Amino acid sequence: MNGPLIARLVREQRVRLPLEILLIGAWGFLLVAVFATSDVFTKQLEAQAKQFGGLLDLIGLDPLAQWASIGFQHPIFLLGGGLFAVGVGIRAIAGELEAGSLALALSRPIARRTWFLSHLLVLVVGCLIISEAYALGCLLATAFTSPMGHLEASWMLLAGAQGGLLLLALGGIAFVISAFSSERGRALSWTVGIVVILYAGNFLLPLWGPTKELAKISPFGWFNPAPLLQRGDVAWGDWVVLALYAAIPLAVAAWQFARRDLAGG
Amino acid sequence: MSEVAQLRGVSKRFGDFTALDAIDLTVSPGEIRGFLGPNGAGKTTAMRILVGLLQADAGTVEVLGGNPRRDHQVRADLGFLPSDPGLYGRMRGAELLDHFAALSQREPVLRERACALLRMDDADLARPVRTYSKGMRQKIGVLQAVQHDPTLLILDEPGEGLDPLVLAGLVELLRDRRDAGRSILFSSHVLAEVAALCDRVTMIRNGRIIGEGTIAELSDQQARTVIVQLADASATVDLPGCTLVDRTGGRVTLTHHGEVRPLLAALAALDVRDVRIEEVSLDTVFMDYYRDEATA
Repeated sequence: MNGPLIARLVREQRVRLPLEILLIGAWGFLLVAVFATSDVFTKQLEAQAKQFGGLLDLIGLDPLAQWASIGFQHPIFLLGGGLFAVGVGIRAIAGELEAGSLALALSRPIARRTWFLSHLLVLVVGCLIISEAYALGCLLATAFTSPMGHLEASWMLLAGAQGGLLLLALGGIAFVISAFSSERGRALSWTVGIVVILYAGNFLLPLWGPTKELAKISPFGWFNPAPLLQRGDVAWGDWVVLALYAAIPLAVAAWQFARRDLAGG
Repeated sequence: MSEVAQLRGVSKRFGDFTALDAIDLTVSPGEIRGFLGPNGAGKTTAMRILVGLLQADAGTVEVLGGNPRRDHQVRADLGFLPSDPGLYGRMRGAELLDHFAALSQREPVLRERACALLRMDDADLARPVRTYSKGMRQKIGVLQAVQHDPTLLILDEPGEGLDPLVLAGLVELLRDRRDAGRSILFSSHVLAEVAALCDRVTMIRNGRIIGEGTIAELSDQQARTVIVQLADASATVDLPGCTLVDRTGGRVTLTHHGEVRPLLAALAALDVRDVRIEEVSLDTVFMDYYRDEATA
């Protein structure tokens, strides 16, 4: 890690990252606030409560927890967090190489490993904060609007950490493409293309028998916070897959960055 | 004394294109080495290998006693200005210089003097870099390379976009550094700048070194133009080392290669009304070296 380098990266994010945190936090807050104040939801829940009595509680289904888990998988959350993760990954190598700033920085006594790890630190912390901002937004709205249902704070924060892992996996894809590229635009196009295919594949592949199993290659399928938010069930296997999904591209990116020529810029 | 920077038999290919073909290049302590060549000759590739941004395919690279690619601490004593420096546009000038000084792990001991010579004042440094003109960006590029007083400066086209006043300041700054025992390798297309500044020049073409030496040595290897005005227009002229270019009456224009003393002795034996031996300019040297390529 390199102090001045990390300080610059943090300074670069001083507007964008707080905005994204606010956006995602507001998304969580609004989602729960709408749930709490909407007549539609309230009437539906009252009807269900009358119809099934204490059955919902008995089987451990909490509509608010279900609602909050949908927000984690919603395109607004993924887009907000993904913009940051992909942005950091692309800029770290291809972006700075094309701009010519990488040549200046690496003519200093900075090892490429240090450059890579400093960017990785910013990526990891940023993804975690953005994801937890959603959890905190939901919890804050729960405290203010008293919706029907319950959100367990520790489970929400744990789901936030897993959401951060998913964003880190997206950042890993961006990093590895960036490490093989010398052009920011090309790296960004490839990354966005791959992420969109993986996202669409998560929904479309299971619809057809022969491709059903292929859906497992998408990292999006390994992030389902509903069981955790409903019952506190932690799917550790999903965590491991997401961690591998982040770690493997990042390891390949680090290997490629260490050996490649920096001829662009 | 060992060399500050040395490339020995260094080759570099990009796919099918040979950027450098077994080149040797040295920069000695306390010298300003000019690196001349047309666009695409391999100057930038060689400089990037010296800084550790590119890996040579063959040959050995030694900078300040180490390999700049593997021993990143070697680069603490290095100042580098690429041909098109990428500067962080949102930073203010002073912030940018502070940042690069911090990355260099060295105090910016020369900043004040360099700013004065390059006519960069506090108001300029307080502005965001994105508002700078091309010349201002070049100035701050030079400043970030020089400010920590590195032992070796590698400058790719440092005079690009600078006005004559600032260029004079840059020349003074680089001479000052040379006099302080620092070494400088720099490329330029401004031949007057090279002639005014360089102790030695290395010329490269198509990835091969085609000439090396002091300006005087390189000039000696080139043809001089000799114009002789004879008293007798019909006199025979046979001068050592000379080739006839043009003859109009008694006015004879020749090109001369080699030692000048036999030529002067032969001229003294002729009935000559006037003689002019034109000094070979660096432009002529440069053009002669690259003529083959230009006519290819």
